[in-house]
This record gives sequence, structure tokens and C-alpha cells, in this order.
Amino acid sequence: MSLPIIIHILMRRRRRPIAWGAMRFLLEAYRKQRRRLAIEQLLLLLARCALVALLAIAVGRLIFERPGERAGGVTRCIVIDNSLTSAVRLDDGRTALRGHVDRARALIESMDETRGDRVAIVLLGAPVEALVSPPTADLRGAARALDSIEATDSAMDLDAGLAMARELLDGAEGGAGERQEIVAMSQWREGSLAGAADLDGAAADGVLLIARPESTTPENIRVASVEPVRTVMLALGGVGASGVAGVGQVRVGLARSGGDLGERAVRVTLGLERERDRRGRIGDRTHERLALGGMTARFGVGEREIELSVPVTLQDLTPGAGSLVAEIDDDALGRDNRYRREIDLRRSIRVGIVGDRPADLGRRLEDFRPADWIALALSPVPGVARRTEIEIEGLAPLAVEASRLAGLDALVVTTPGLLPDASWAALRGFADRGGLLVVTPDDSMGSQGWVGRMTRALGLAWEGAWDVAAVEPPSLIEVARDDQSGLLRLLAGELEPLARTVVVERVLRVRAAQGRGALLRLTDGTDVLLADRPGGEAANAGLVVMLNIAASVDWSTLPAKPLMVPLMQEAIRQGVGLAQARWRVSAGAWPTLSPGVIELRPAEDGRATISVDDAARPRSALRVAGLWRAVDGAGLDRGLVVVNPSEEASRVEPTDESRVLAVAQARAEDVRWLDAPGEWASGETTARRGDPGRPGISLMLFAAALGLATLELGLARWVSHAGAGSGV
Amino acid sequence: MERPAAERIDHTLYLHPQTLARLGSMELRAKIIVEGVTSGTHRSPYQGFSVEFAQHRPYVAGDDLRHLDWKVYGRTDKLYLKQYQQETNLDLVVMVDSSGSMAYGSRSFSEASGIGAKAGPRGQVNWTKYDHATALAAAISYITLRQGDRAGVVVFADQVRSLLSRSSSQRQWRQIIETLSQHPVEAPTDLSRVMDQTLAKIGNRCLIALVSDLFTDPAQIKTALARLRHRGHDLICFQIIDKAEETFEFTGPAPFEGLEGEARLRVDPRALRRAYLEAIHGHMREVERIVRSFGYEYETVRTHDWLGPPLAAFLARRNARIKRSKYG
Repeated sequence: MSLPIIIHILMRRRRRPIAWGAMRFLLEAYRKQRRRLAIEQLLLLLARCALVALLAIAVGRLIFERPGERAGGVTRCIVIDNSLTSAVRLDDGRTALRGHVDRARALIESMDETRGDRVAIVLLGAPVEALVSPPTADLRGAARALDSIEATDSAMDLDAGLAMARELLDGAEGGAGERQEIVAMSQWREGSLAGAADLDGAAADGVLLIARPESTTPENIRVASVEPVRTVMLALGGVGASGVAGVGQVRVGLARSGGDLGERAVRVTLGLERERDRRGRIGDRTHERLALGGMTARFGVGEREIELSVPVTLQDLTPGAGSLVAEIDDDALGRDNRYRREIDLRRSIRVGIVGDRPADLGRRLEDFRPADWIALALSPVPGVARRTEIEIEGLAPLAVEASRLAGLDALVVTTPGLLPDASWAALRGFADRGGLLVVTPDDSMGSQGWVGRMTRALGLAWEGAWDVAAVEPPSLIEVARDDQSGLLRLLAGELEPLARTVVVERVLRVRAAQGRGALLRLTDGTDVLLADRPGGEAANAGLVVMLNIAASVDWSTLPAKPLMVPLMQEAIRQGVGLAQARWRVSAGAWPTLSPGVIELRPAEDGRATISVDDAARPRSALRVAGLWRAVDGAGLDRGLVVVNPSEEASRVEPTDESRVLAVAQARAEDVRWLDAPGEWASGETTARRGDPGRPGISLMLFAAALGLATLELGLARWVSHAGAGSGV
Repeated sequence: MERPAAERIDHTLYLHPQTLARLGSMELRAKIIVEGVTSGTHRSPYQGFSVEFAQHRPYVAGDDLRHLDWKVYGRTDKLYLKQYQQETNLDLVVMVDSSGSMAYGSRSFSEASGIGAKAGPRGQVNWTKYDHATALAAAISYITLRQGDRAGVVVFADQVRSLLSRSSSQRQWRQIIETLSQHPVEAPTDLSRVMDQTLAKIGNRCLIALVSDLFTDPAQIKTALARLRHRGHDLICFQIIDKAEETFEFTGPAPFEGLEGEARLRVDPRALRRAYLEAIHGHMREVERIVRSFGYEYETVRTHDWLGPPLAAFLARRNARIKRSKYG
């Protein structure tokens, strides 16, 4: 900074003195103008200092910046929508994703490695992932990486993608002369924008170039749901020579978006998809897909959602777990044409009943113990159900141990007060492995001290008095309205009148925390039937059902009322299915698996096994729909992971530019349209030549220096009064 | 005492033959009647017995009978004496300012002297205001001496530096030039003091030609002229100005050094030009006003102009005014 001062002073010193006769007049003029001259000289000096400083900074930047930066390189992060919506096919047969990839490739090819241009690529299909990271100058490599992009079945996570892009750009070691841009490529259909929440905060800094939204409106029909009557399908029609056989109903929901919403017929087929051991070769598993049935669904004009019941026929099927798959004809977006629902095919359900003596339906009714009443409810037709659909096994309280529980699907404990502590731990293990545990109070005890042991051992958030209370006056049972477990779903229509016939005189007042999980209540609000997973809400396997009334006529009229049979039947049949460990998630989610699961093995060929971390989360995201088996360290199946396409991402209706712009402007301060590839290429050329709209820092400094130099010239001329007239 | 030949001044440096030729036919007349010891072409303030009749007066005892007008006595038997308007010589005192400011000149000597000399007698390459004053003094002295009148010179700055008594001898003009040939001194003008010193040396009324840039306090000028007026002298004021001083057309920043001991001033002249011109032109107008307020003649003489034309024009205007006042 001293240089301009020295020059300024030297400029004033270098002239030879002029001997002047009329000095008195010069001095007089100087005295009058001295203050003004001082200010002018100061302004001139400041202008010169600023000019030199600007030039020094600009030249310094040119010298010390990296070669790429010197040329005004651009670091660009291309975020590509590869969500489910991007798989929509357009009229030309290409998918939107292919269009994004081609456009990204054109953009990358328009960049210049020698100038220092760098590119990073982020894929927006949730969860977002960086395809090319950190920003690289290997533009050809980045262009090749585009070929590996595939559409996911998940929704687009724009915010996470932009955050990742900004993180990559921030982490790039670019100089101040570098331009940074985020280029977002998407057709911005409803499905893509569904996850873009309204933002209240200030938009982030930086440039965001966005593709214009696509205006075409292809029609898309998706399978929205598949609901079998039960997730455990039993041999309704009997057992065939080698497997399960029978008929059933599966409810299939369809939804459509886009198009003209006119009449439309679509064929729905149902199949079973599972793995099983090859015949005679244990451990050598094969993937099989079996057709179960199908029917044609018809959308009326303007109808967006329909639901239909599809009859299925089970013929000679090997028992085991699999997924029920509903599939429709191909349409503009084919990836959401298939929906999976876990299902378990059984010959029968094996239920253990723990009582003070083995159940014997041959006794007289007045001698019935609770275990007898329950056995009667589960096997109302003697000799038939026991042998086929529900197999009952009596267990003594001291026999409740892991080895005896291993072969059971459900266990009904009528004498919990007689269970030793070790048995509760065994029951916890049984539940964690997907077992159903039904507990009733001990009818012979006034104080039910086991409740505490049970809740502790099973990790249940139940509380209340442990003493049996008399209900005065005797109360009726009514249905709680918050049955979230679905345990009594099939009884919903008849449950209310059936429950109204039961009179309760004694009850154990164990209640669910905050009333959650209560299925039946007394009219005074006392919970009667509770259901919860062992270990709390986060658990994914096992089910504990607590009936606060002992199956004894001393407690209530329930054992002798019609409600008893369907109540116990549903508790077992539906409960066994609910207790099984299975995870049904939308693509892009991170399911929390049961402890002990070490990996997810794909049910379909061509997919990689996904390992599971210590927090029971898959190490890589489940972006694609499909079926996985959760396997523990012993190689045993711990349940199924069913991944379906994201529901929200399948909407293909176009959005208008104003909405897209609003979404983008809520997330970036400087939003610009990314025009057609040709126009973009020409625009890029302009940018390479200096980009007058966004000059580099050095260029701006030079421009500022030029402006300042002009100002200095003008100022110097003004200060020198060179244009002052000669007249007085 | 005459100077050695080597120190003698080439008089033609200051009085170019062309100037002399232009002035040769002119008469230098005093505006008012001046006293002189010899008869000349100028009216004397004393009415005596010279050749030009003035009036009659009655004879009183003791008058010189030679001045009786016998023709009037023959016609009227009354004795009247003829009185005559005595014509006397012109005493010119040229006061030349040699203060420091007179050493400034922006015109080249060779171009100004007109005879091809590249430098002045002191080696100066510029034609200074002092050189121009010397030339002017020489010119009017030449005219005066050529008429047979007496001329003298006073060179002054803060005081009288040298003085050449009035004389009408043929050698006087050469001595005038030699007197003027001294250097300007690095001292300011003290006109009132100089005027006092000069008037102390002058007994009779003279025509005083003040040749100076008059870069001094106007109040001092006023005081000096008041004393001059009080003593009845006539004055012609020649204010010498250099063109550069009058226009101040410097283009670049430069330090200015005063010639009279002022401090050096480092300034961009363009920045001060307007104020400077206002100051110097205001001063010149003030000087002219003061001079004219005493009834004296004032003339601005620019060093870049030929001396002849403006001097001739000045003399023509002056003589015309004298004739108008004399003959009505």
C-alpha cells in the first residue's frame, strides 16, 4: 500500500522548481484554495491506493490461484432424480431418468477439464447417495458413471440431496475464483415433489439450476395394497398329499394418477413369491413364483382408487413364509405395478396351554379349569381342529422352558402365578423369536404378584393393581375403539353384540400405559384385553396378549358365552401372524431389525446380500422393492423384509413451473432454469468466455480496477482543473 | 567613470533599431509645464521673457525697459510690459524596478531582443521583465535626449539601488543603459521608501516614468503616488507583465519558488489557476485605478509584445491629450 503513496509523492516531487515572480498572487490563491486542494489530493491519493490495491489483488490471484481457478473453473454438483417417478416412460419410449442422464452427460461434456471444471453427482432417490464424490476433474469418468444409474422405488429426497450437494461443494478445495453450481435434473412430477416440504427458513446461498418441469401426463396405475384375510394362511380346504391346499380371498387396492381418468380395465394377478429348499436338498434354496389367481379390475370415469377381492387357490403348496404378490399390466410407470405382502403358509398352528393340570375336554363343565375353557374355545369341534388347524399341547407350569417352546407358535398361560422366574425369561425369548403369548390371571389367586415379573421380563409398559378386584356391580364388556394391532379385525362386525352378553364380576386391573393397546374394556373403563409387543413399540416380533379375566365362570360369564370361541380363535390365528417377525417398508426406508439379525438375504437372484450393523439397521439402504430374509448368526430365518415401491412417489401428474420455482426458491437464493441441452451448451460457452453475468473474482477485480482507474483519471483531471476556463 | 570595454553593454540589446525608427518622429511632451534650465519645446511654468507671448501687465518702476511693449505705448501712451510663456526643457526621471519579481521572464531572449542574441548581458536566456523595463527606459530616454531634454534614471527595489542624475548630454543615454544593466536583486519592492528617496534628490518638477511590475501592496503604491502628486510631478506608470504571469498556463504539477524570498510552493498550477488569475488581474485593476485616480497615465506593458507599437500608441494618446488641454 505504500507504493501508491510513494508514487503519489514522487509525482509531486519530480518537477524542477519554477522561479516565479508573481508569487504573492500564487500564495494568495493557495491560501484561499488550500483546504479544497488538500481534500482533492487526499481523494486522489485514496483512489490511487485503491487502484493499486485492486490491481495487486487481481494480479496476485492470477499468479497464485491454481490453473483451473485462473480460468474461472466451475465446480458443479449434478443432482439427478432417480426416484420411482423418474422411471415413468414417455411417448418416445424413453424413461425420464434416461433423459436426465443424457442431459447430465451433455452438461458434463460441455465442461472443460483444463479450465479446472469439476463435477460431482448425487442421486436423489431416497436415501440419497453420492454417485461421484468428491467433485472430480475426471469428467469422462463421471460421464461413464452416469451409465450405472438406475431408478429406485423410493421417493425423491430433494432436501437431503441438496444438503449433500452443498456439503460436497463446500468440501471441494476450490479457490475464490471458482464458480459453484448445483444442477437439479427432474421432471418435477407430483411424485417427485411429494416429499418436498414447505420450508419457512431462509433459502441457502448458491446457484441452483433446475430443469423445467415436464408437462406430459401419462397414466399410471399402481397396486396400493394387498391384504390377505390373515397373514398366516392355513389349509382351509384340508391338507394335500404334499402341502397346503385351499381357497381364500385377498383384497387388492389399486390407485391411478395422471392421464385423463377415463374408463380403464386392468388385469390383476396374484402370486406367491418365496424361497424354499430344493427338493431333497436342504440348504440349497431356490426362488419360486407361483400363480394364485387373478381378475380384471375396472376404473370408472374419474375414479382414482378401487379395491377388489381376488380369490386365490392354494394347491399343494409347501408350507413356509413368502410374499403374496399382486401385479397389474405394464403401464407408463412399471415399477409400481407390483406389491408384496408377507404371508405364511401353514398346515396348522401349534398352541401350548399352560395350566395347573392338563386340559381335558372330557370333564364336566363345572369341573372345567381355565385351560379347559381355552382349549374348548380353540377346538370347539373335538377331534377335528386339534388335529388340523390348531394343534393344542398341554404344558405344566414348570415345563415352560425354551426347548418346549421351540415347537410352538403360541402359548396360553392360565396359571402365570405358578411360573418360575426362569420361565418368564424363556417366554421373552419365545416372544422375541416371533411367538404369541396369551396370558390370563390365575383364577385361584387373590394377589397376582406375577404381573410385575411378567412386565419386567417381557418389557411391557403395563401397570396397575396386582390384586384381583371385584366388579361391583358386575359389568359388561365393550369394545375399545383404538385397536391398532388388528388382532380382532375380522371380528369387527360382530364383536360389539358378542361382547355385550358378557358379565364380568372379577377382574385384574392391569392397564396399558396411556390406554394404548386395549382391545376390550369394561363399561367402567377397566381394560379387559390388552396386546403389545414385548420390548415396546420398537420391537418387531412377538406379541403378548393379556386377558384380565380368568377363563373361569367365577370371574365372568365369558367362558360360557359365544364371544369366547371367536375371541380365542382370533387371538391365536391372527396373533400368530402378527407376532411373526416381518418388516414391510416402503423403498428408501431403513427398517430396524430384531437383535441378532446379521444380514438380509435377497429372495431374488441378482441382488446382493445386505449386512446389518450392531444397531440392527441394514448397512445399505433398501431403495428397490423386493423380498429379503432376515438371517441371524446361526443362519436361521428371523423374518421377512418386504419392500414395496414408495406410495407417494408413484404420482405422475405434472406440476407447473411456478410451483417448481417456489420449491426451488425456498431452498436456494439464486434459482435459474436449466434450458434445453442445446441452449445450455451455448450458454456454457458464453460462460467459458468469461461469463459476463457471473465473472470470476479476478475478473471482477480487474473490472473494478478499470472502473477505478477511470474514476482516478476523472478525479485527477478534476483535481488538476485541466478543463478550467482561462477567463477570470 | 566610463566602464571598461569588456563590461560595456550592447545598447542595441535593449533598444532595437526598429524601435528607435518607430519612435524617431515622436515628441515626448510633458503633460504639464515643467521646469527646465534650458529653453526647449516644452512650456515652462514660469511666465517670463521667453519667445512665446503670454500677456501684458502694467509697468512698475524698476521693470526692465527691454520688455516694454512700445507698440502699445505708441497707441495708448500707457506703459505695458510684454510677458512671455517660457518654453523650457523636459526633465525625465525613469524609475526602473529591479526587485526580484522583475527577474522573471518566460520569453526567450533571442526572440525578444530582435537582434539574434541568445542571452542577455548577465547570461540570462529568458527575456525578463527587467530586460523589458530596461528596453522601455532606454526608449523613452532616447526620445527625451533626442529632443534635447534631460533624462536620468533611478534603479530601485526595496530602496534606491543606483541613481543617474539628469543630463542632456549625448553620453547620457549610454550611461543610462549601463546603469540599468545591473541585476535585479532578491528583494521586494518598497515603493514608498524609494519614492521618498527619489524625491529627495529631485528639486524641480519632472516627468517620472515608473517602470515596474508593481507587485507590491496597493496601499504602498497609493502612498507613493500621493507624495509624488503632492510635489507636483507628473507620472507615467508602465506596469510590466509577463505573459505567463498573466495567463498562468502551466500544465503539470510543479514547485514554485518566489524570486523575492518567498517560500517554495508545491502545487498543481491548474488547480490554482482560477484563483491566481482572479488575484493578479484584480491587483492590476486596482493599480490602474489608483494611478488614474491621481490623474496619471497608466499603461500595461507586456513582455511578449514589441516595445515599439504600444509605446508609440501610448505616446500618441498622451500627446493628443496634451494638445487638447493646451488648445482647448
